[in-house]
Amino acid sequence: MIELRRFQPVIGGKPLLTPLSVKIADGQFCVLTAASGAGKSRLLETLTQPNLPHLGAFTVSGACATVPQSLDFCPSLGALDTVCTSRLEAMSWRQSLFGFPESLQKEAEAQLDLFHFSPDREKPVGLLSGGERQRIALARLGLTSRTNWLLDEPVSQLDPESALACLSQLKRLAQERRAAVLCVLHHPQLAEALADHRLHWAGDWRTQ
Amino acid sequence: MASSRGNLFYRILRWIGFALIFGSILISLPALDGGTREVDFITQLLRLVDRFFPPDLSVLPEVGQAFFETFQIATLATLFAVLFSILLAALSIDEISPWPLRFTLRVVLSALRTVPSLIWAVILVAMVGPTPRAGVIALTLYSMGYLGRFFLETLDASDRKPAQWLRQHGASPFQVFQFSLWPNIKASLQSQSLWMWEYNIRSASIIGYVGAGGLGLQLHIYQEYGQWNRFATVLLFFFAVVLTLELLSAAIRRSAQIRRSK
Repeated sequence: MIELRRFQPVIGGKPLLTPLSVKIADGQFCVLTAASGAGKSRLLETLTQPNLPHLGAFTVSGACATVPQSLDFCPSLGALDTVCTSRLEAMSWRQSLFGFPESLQKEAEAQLDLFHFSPDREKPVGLLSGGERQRIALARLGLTSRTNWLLDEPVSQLDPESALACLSQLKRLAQERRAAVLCVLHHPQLAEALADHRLHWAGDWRTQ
Repeated sequence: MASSRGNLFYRILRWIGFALIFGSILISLPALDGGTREVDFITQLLRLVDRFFPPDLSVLPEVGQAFFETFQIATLATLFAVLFSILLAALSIDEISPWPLRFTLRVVLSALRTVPSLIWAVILVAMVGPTPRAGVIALTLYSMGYLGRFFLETLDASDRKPAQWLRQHGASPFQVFQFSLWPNIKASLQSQSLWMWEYNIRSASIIGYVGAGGLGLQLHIYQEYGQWNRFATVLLFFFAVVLTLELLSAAIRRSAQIRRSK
């Protein structure tokens, strides 16, 4: 569950956006849209780093899994291994010392198939396109045990058809896992097709 | 106005730099002085070269044996150095260790590198006796300083966001190193380790002069007894081996580069 109570991120002493109050229950998909540079990314970032300046309050029940815009993957690690790293918090260093168990690798393969990742699974992430890396980021969510997902433009480098397909799959996954999803998107059409809650900022927050 | 003052400042700094370099060269020239002994260098050189040839090939078996000891010393020292320096470098970065440990380890790596390998050999021979073990430990310590610094700089220069992101997602420090930092240094590790091994073979040949085993001991004996034609045999043998190793390691690096680009 993610709850924001008159929440506003702050940069350099200046509040961004306007106060936002929303409650996202487990299994719900909430989409935020706004113009570029409005402060959406900073909003998501502050939810994972409470020491960042902000106004208002928020509650997140449990830890968050994030898909940032920058997709900070190790460029030399293979695609399959990158998906498997989603489970590291549930594994001791001994269990992952010689690589990931075969069962986990099979699960990761299945998630990559779900999000239509087609390149060689051993290919280093640094050699993949932006769209392919975004598919990996979504596949990681299929393996995480965390139930609060913060997604910052997770399909911005996919074509509209693929973007819709991936987000639809993601929404199904979130419902199965009872994960609360807060997703920032650029395209209102995608939000319209998928969101349980839609909030658009144009000077103030409006529910759509 | 501010920019022309800035340019003048940097011009003055550059001239001071040149003056310092030129001055350093000038005050170093007396080092060429051969002392009170007047020596005809060319004649001495020709006399020495004359004594080198023909090389005495009858000592090849014992030279080969001594080189094998050199090889053993260099290989073990490189292996231990690679393992320890990866550990020290990993423990010296922000995402893995607290700052007191990081600071201490960085100081240790600098200290190890500061002492030349020959001096390490002198110290270790005094501690453990004139044996190849002294050579292994001496070269391990020196190589740790060099490799540790190299790996640390590679880690420092690499993007740390993957490491921070993995840490945020619950990975332990060891797992952060294994899955976000280690893949980046793996490739250069191979190249630097090969270089270190070649360097250690050359160094292991010299540290025998101070009793730490290997080919250096042969060179020392032949020099002491004025057996320059045997000395020449050692040099030629060593030259042939080092050249072969350099060609081999260049081929290995080239093939690794081709594999990585595919």
